[in-house]
Amino acid sequence: MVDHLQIQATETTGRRRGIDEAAFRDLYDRTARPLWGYIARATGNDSIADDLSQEAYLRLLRANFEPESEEHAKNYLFRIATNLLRDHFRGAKRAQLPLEHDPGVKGHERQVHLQHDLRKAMMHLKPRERELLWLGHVERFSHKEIAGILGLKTGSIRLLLFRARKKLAALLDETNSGTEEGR
Amino acid sequence: MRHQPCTLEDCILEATRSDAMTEELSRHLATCRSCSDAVSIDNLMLAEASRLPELSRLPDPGRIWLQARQQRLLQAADRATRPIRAAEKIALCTGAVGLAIGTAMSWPVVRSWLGQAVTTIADFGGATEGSLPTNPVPVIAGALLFLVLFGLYSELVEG
Repeated sequence: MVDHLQIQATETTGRRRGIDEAAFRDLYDRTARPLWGYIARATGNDSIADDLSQEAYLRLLRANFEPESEEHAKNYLFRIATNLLRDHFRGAKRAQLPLEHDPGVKGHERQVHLQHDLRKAMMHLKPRERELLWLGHVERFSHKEIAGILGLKTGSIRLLLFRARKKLAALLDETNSGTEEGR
Repeated sequence: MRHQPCTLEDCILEATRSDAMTEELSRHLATCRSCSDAVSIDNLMLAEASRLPELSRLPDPGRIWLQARQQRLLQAADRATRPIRAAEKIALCTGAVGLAIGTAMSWPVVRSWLGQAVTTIADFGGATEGSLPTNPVPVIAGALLFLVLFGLYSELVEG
């Protein structure tokens, strides 16, 4: 897939290099949705995800980054997004939505509510835990890649993921027990 | 309750994701809380990812490319003019220091000029050449302070 990311000299300095427009469009098409999803679920805010995704691509291009492979480019992009998220969380306190549940939902509605509960439960996790879960379970990055993106030690990822999952499961259990009591 | 991840967790996740669950792994999954949590959360997270809205809200990649190009050009222009700005600052400092030294060295002459200027201003509250300081240091220090403040203000306006 390296050929997708043809590298050429940029006209601004004559020395610096980066990806060309066609390669960028290709990279954007393959990564925009996952990247947006990562930021949206880490922040719990779609509008912030719009802004930060765009900024992540701008930073990638401004850095004149030379990717070695498609995975390398994706990892680099997610690392930029993680840094942007860190800056975002530094400046804003995360919203604490109450863990409540509407009783008496069935069928596909139940699935919709489960997703709603997941979103709310995730907002009760630390930003780092949300990032870990998304990178590990949705993007399915390896532990080494997650460590690179989040700036952590590879050996600690398994345990951190386990703890984040345990915490999320407990939060979801809490929501479910609320539902049972409501019936 | 388990405080360490299960050693079979990766195998279980891989098997459920690829729909290749064996009898042995199924038995383990039924009894292991850590693995069942991992599988449940994996499924929920994937379902959540599949429900993400379409990306019509994000701008066209061509627009981002052009914006980045514009920013790169601005950065390049900023880098190119950095020596000019540095030279301007050095010239300003050199001029200020030269002026201060010149004023200090020929203070009696400057003092006499200032005195003449003061006396030609009609309503100056009775100030005369005699009321001007004989020591040039406060005057020079005041002038330098003014220059420093002016320099900081210009830097802020530029920034």
